[in-house]
Amino acid sequence: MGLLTILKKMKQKEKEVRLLMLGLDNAGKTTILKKFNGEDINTISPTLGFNIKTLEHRGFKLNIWDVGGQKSLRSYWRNYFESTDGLIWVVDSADRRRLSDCKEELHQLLVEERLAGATLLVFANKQDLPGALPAEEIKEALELDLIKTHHWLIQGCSAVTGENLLQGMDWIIQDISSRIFTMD
Amino acid sequence: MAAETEMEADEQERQNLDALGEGLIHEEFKEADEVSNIISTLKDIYTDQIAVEMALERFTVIMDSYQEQPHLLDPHLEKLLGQLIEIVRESAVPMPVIHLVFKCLYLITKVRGYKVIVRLMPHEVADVEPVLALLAQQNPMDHETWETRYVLMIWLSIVCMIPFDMVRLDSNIKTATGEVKKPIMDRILDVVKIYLNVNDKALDAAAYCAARFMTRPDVKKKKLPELMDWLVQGLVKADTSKMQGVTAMRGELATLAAIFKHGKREDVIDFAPIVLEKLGECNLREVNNTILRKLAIKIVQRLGLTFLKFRVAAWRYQRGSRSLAENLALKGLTPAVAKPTMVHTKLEDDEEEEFDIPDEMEEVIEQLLNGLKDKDTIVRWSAAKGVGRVTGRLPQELADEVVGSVLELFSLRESDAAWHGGCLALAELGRRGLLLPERLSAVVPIVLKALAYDEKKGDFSVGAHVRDAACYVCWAFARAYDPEEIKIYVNNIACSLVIASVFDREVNVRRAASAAFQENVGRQCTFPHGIDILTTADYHAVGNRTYCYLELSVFVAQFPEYTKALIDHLAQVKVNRWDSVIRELAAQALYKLTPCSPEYMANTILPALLPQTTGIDLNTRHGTILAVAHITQGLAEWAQENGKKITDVVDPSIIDGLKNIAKTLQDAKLFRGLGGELMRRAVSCLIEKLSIAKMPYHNDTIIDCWQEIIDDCLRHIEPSIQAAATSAIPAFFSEYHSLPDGSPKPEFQEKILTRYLEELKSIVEITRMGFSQAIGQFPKFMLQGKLKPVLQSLNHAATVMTDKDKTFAEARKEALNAMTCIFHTVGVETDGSPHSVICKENIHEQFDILFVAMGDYTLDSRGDVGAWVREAAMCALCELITLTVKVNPTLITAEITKHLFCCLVQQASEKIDRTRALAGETFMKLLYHSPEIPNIPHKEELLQIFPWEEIKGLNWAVPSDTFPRLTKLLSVPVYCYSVLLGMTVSVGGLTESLVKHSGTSLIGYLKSLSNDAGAVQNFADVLIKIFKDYQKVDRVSLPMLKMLDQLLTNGCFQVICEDESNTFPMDLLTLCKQEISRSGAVQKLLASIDIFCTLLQFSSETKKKALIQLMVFLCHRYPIIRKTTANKVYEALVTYEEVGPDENLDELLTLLSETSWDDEVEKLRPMRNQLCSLFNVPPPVMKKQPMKES
Repeated sequence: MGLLTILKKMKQKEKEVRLLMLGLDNAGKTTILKKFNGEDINTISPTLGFNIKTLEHRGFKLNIWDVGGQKSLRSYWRNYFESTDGLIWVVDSADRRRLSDCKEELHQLLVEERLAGATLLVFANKQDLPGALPAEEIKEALELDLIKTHHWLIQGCSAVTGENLLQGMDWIIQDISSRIFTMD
Repeated sequence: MAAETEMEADEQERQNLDALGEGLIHEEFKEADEVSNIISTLKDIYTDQIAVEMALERFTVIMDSYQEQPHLLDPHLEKLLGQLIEIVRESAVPMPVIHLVFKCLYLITKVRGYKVIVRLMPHEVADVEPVLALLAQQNPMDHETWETRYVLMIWLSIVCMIPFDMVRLDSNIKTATGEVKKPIMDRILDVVKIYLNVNDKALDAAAYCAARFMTRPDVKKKKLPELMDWLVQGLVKADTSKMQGVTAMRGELATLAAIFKHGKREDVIDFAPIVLEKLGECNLREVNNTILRKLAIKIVQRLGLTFLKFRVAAWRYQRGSRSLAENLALKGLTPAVAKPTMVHTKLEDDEEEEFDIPDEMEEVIEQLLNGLKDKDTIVRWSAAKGVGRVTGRLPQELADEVVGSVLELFSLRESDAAWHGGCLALAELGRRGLLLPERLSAVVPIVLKALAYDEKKGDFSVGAHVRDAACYVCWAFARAYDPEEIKIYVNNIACSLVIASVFDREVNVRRAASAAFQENVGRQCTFPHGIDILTTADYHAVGNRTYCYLELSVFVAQFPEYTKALIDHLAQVKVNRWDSVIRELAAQALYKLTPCSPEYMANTILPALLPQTTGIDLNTRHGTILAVAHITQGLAEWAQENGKKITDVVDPSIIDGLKNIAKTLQDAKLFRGLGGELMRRAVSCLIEKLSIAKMPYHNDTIIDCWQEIIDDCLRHIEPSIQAAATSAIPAFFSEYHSLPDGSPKPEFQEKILTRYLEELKSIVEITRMGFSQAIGQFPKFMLQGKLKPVLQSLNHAATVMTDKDKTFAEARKEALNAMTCIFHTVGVETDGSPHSVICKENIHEQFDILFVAMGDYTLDSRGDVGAWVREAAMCALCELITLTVKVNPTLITAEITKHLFCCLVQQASEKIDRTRALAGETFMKLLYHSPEIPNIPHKEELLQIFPWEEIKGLNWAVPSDTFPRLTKLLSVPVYCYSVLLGMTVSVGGLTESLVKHSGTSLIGYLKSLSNDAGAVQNFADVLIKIFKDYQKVDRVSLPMLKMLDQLLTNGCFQVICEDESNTFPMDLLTLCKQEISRSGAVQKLLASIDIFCTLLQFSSETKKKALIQLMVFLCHRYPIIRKTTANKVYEALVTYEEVGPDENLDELLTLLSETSWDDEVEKLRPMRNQLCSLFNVPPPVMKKQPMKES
């Protein structure tokens, strides 16, 4: 029995889930994370960095990784102890101009084999802004229906009001846990 | 791990992780129906062993694939279990079926875990009797059916929990024998006690069952004290020096552990002190059995938890509010409240501290702490969990004492196990918030020490597990503490983690460290240049150790926070590690890091390392010599870039010190013995690097000393030492043996050349090799005016074979390699002087020599060692011809090109894959060379057969790819002889795939010619010529016989042999006879029998001669020849028509098959002569030599 085995067992016991939060810049990733964490969301500048936050929800321990503005993400997919269980892809629903960029980035990411099997939650953020596209249209624009390799869900939300954030998280946790955890 | 190479470890690591990550692949339990079908067939197949095995095999494979995601089985479990149980419940089911059912139940249980399965087993009153009855029927010793007993025991553990008073189940009806049946409660206990003493998995189930049973209120009242007594008595009595005692004790300990886990605190607390006391008496720490020690630690932990009431330590450290739902509910209204504040709560009212701690706790904690030092990981881990759990229930002062005791484990007096256990405990405490931030100032330095833990043990060291665990602690701390608490330690932790992730010897530690670093960057956000480093030195990048040392280290060192720490670590720790590979890498890394901090290197590191270069410890000497050599080179290069000299940046005392290293070592006789090998390599490297650095030692006596050392190394038996010396030569000679104008110092050149060339004639092969390599490395000026004698000596060494040195294939190879290097060094000039360059005067001689070397077929016990020589010769030829064609293609005569290409196609058709590959690649390179090689014979055909587009990716080592093309060359007359000569060796060879592919290609080619009698005749002529040329040369002639047999049996020569007057069969016959005359080589004789028999199909004259020869064989002195001949002739009689007179055929066949050809020759001769007369051939007469036929 090596350390790896011990850690694996612990992940099961502690019900830990590793989530990677990604998306184009200014999509609202850090705002969502701050909101999750109950922090003040009024002072946010563009993130160039990397933040891990741990939150508890429905008996699960969520380790949420916010990787903002970095070119290479390879380093975050997998390390010694853990692999990524879920992806939270955040979209600025009001930024119509960059939706095709957004689509390409997302599809490029999903072919990465190290992310195989990870559950995908798309947050169509900024629904509170006038002119924001509804989730259904974002789904079309991102061609989510083409994704067969991952379980996915799109959820319209607003990081500022907190609307629908919980619903999205409930779904991703439910999906991941059915895949990797033993339920009692 | 220590014994594994990096690559293997890396690979294994990758696989482990992939199993972990990509192992989670199932979406659902797809095979549910298949499994159900298997179960339903069990009753029908149980008598058919094969069907049973196949069913079980399939069942196992399916189940095992869900080992990683067992919960996917859940929706189907009820149905599957129901199906299985139903079979058991049927009446009159044969026992083998029952066993099969339980095997399946076990496989499911193994995957899903007994805790889940047990709940799904039926547990009604009606089940009690059948389960007990089934158990009673089992033989506890039958090793083939243990699954049945295990699962039954698991089943019993739930059946025995029926919520009715057990007494009500007991009947008072007497059995046939008139006894009253024992009460159920007793029967259950009896059977459990039996199984607590068995040596298989049923024991674990029995322990679990016992503990569950004891939690029943009725049983608890009546039986618990009794059982406790029984267990404790058993413990004390057990003799752990015997297997039986160990087994018994395992059962008792497992039961106790389970009872204290499942039992209610108030029910078991009264027993706790006595159990602890008796456990202490058993002195289990000294027991050799790991399981027993682990169980003991487990019990101690449970006892501790029994003594202390459950509570959450109010004083524990917490990091902010972490509930997602609560945080979202805040609606962002009150940021101040939501901000994660340190809730390091210490309740004002200290009433919590009031409860008293039993005295036994001291013993419990001491045992747990001791468990941390255990020699086995599982015991340490169990102890660490125990420490964590128990500490959580202690009041703060006592808990702090526990932390203090854990920290005491990290002492140099303690073993690596203690350090490892200590790390696990620290991580466990940190995770639970029991390690208060006040303690960090003591804990962090200790963890950092553990991160670099490496204890020498003999000629290796231990500690990778400690370092790995220390990474885990850093990782756990990153999650546990708020950045504020860690802030002051950040730089130290960051440096240590970075060092571990780029410089640790083991890949798992590097990866663990990089993961811990990542976690710290993400959670603490205060690690300097964290993101840059973690995205470069990530999980993937740190996998390759060389890359870590030479590339990643340079990247990290550019950040000033890390530069010195990295350099210091290499210079202080890594250069004297026990693994020489690490020392070498460390030295190279120091070279790479020199430009990052040249002053520090020159003024601090070099002076610190220098005294160690001549110290006592061999590893340190080796590492530091390499280190100073590399650093000096780095400094010299840095100085040059900045317009300075090495003397400007390094103190004169250092310059002097570096100079004296070699001399000091020589005077101390440190070049001798085992350590001498390392010293020689190190000093060779030192000489090379100091020469590159242009150290001001010109005309110093040290140069003679160095020369002496190098010459000595060249003579050394170890190739790696020769190689080290050889690589020092170019720089050393150029710097110290030349005059400022670039010409050689005359006295040096003369002296050295005379000595070196003399060594080429040494009677020691390895010496010749060493000096050949050295001469190959000579800089151009050393050969100036002396090329003639040098080439002469090399030519001699490469081709001339005397009795003394005919087996020196490797020496010849090295001489040829040296020639290749020299061609390259001096170059070709058409009208140049033969004393200095290759020119029209000496080039043809060189070609001739190389062609001679192409015919080197030296054999020794290793096989065709001449192949090395031929390969070296091919390289030399290629080098020479490509150099020449660029200067003056007319120097290359048609004869040379033809000879060269014939040689290449021959080598490309021979049997050694490696040689064939080299020949093929050289052939292609020259065929498509630019500028064009002149006079390539039949170039157009070659280009057609080997078109670039199809050939460029061809692997010449693969017979199936190359031979089909090579056979096409047979139709080109110039190449026919060479290709066929090469192919003979392949077709008649030994390797199956080679023989198959080359043979098929050749036969296919001949078949394609079948209508072209002229072409076949040409081929036959070449064949005969080769056979003649290589008569009695076994290397070719034996394969030739084997090849001929294949060709003849395939009817390849049918078209020419239809003409009775064709001499081909007769020529073959004659050649075969000559080949075997006076030969005692059995292989060859056997091969010739085949040929003679196949010749029986031809014209009467040939047939007659062949028959006579075969008749001679029938009385050969070797029985195997006689027997084989009889068999083959028999076969020929049946296969070919008109071999013998038809009327005698039956008699011939009978005589051949019924005679016992093992008998004495004298007895056989009459039969043989009878055969002769039946065949109408004259019987052979004894020749003069008596040995021929007796």
